[in-house]
Amino acid sequence: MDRFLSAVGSSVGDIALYSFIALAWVVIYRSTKVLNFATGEFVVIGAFLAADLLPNHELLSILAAVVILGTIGALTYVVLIRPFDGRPDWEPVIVSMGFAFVLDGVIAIAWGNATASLPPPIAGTLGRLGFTPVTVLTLSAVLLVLVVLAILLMFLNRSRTGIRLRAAAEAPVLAEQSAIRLPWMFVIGWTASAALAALAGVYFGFSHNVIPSSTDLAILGITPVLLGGLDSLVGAVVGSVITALALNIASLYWGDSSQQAVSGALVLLVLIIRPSGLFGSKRVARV
Amino acid sequence: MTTTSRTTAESSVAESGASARRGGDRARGYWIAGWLVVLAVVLYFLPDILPAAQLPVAHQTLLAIPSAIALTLVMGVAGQVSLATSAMLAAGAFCVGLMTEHLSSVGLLTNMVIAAAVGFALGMIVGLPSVRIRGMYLLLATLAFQSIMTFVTQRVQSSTIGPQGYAVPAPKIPFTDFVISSTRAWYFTLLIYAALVVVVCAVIVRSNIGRAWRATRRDELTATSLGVNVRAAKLSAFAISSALIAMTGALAAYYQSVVTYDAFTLPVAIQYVAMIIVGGLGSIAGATLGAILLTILPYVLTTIVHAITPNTAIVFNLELIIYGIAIIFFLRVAPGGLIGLVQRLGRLVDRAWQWSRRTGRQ
Repeated sequence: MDRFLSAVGSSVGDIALYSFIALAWVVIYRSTKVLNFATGEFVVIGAFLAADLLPNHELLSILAAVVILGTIGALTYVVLIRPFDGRPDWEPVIVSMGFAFVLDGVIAIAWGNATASLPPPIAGTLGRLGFTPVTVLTLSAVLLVLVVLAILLMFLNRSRTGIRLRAAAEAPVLAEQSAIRLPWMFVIGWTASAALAALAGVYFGFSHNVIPSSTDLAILGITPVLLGGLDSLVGAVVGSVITALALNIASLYWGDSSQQAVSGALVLLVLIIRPSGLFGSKRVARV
Repeated sequence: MTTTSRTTAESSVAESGASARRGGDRARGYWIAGWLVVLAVVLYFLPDILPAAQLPVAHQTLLAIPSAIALTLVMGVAGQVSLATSAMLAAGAFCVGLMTEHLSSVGLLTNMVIAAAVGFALGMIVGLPSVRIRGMYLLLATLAFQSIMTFVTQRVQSSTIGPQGYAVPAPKIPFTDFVISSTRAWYFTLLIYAALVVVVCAVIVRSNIGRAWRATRRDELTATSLGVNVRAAKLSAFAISSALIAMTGALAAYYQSVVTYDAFTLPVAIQYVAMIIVGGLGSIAGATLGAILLTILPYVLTTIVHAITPNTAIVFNLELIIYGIAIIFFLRVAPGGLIGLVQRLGRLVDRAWQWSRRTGRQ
């Protein structure tokens, strides 16, 4: 029982991490209907930038990392994704995979054997679940996730820009005719997503040592997104909870290496049984 | 249908056009045959032309070609998406590994056939989602399959033989006692295998199955209304290509003489997609060209970058970067791949030729 509780305990940190990454995926999908497979690289770049930019001013460093990554996200959209308007939808995905290769090389050349590790701004534990300590940091991260989720939901559903963004994504032709500037909407989406990825990287840096090959992380980010529904922000968080729990419990019984496979199995299950995910809208590419 | 009778003038024009076309076709046929003979001669003497240290590069190129062609059958001809290439290679290789462990008397040919059968079955499984979902979602499904295969192969390997992997002895040519061990012998073995795959795939593409695939790619709804069984077409595309890939993986296992699960990663699958994109989606020649280029690329890059800096880490990462850029570039700028560019060039040359002929006659 204790081991089970420990698994749950270690899930809490993962929930926060996956949620940030999953939200990043969903925001991009909501705005441009593309999956960005370079998200993992964005996360790692975020971590390294935050650790290296201003070593003495941690908060400023983090802010700078978020801003820089947001810019990278915007540029990525403009240069790499926008030209693929109207082409088969798997092409931008392959492009993002190619871009992920490029970023992998860049990260390795720039940071080689370095590790990024950020001192957590908040310390302290609030007790234990099984053998795992539950830290204030993890709980505040989860809180931050919920806050970010609330902000995103309000933005997309209540604010003018948010509604325009949704219009641009779901009915581009009509949106353009309503004088909505599509490219800007998409740029906003990608910037926000990259910023979220940076946050994920920063949080990852708090609790782990980030190395250049941590980019594999992002592949795990697809599972919560598919579970919850590609276009559902709430689904992203719920999916993260499910995925984090499933992966940690699987680690318990089958070892760490089973995580990729359990992840893959969850994805297949979702795609076969309910491709639109738990909360996603029904408009999935069903034949 | 009404029958029309032709006037003498019309029929003679038609006749001359037809005979000119026949003459033109025959001329083209000679042209192609001529080049094929040249190619055959070059390929035959290649092991003697190339320095011995470069032959393994030729081997790897020859191993990459069949899988690339198989992938272009699924993605280019049938219009699906698949990142399961690496998983299928693993399946074939593990067939050989396991058979060598438990039934070492089984020879090369039988193992390859077994691998093909396993690949066929797995291909049907991977193809199942393609019946219901498309595009990006299908890509994700094949990606998930890749993850699962990695896990399964890793479990199988660690519970049977451990991290050093399965040792595979050198194979014998079927029905003979000749052991394939020298680089020269491997070169010709792989060459013949690749040539066979090219021929078989060319036949499949021109057959009814290939036509069904092309119809499915164009427009599933129209294909269905024309009587094409789209579901069977998709499943057969995945099954046949997976069988070919698994068979190639089996042969590769013999070539490498060791089978480990960690050789079959996601980047490998992405590389094959890159090959067919760079070469030209949907054509066997494109897949071959892409396979050759992208297999040779790392070696060329290593030589070039080594001249600038001997730092091996940078060389590797630079290759990674250039690989990624190549994928992006070709998808964006030249969707027909290199073969598409060559065709465009050919049409330009053709038009220039005809223009010069016309102006010459006046």
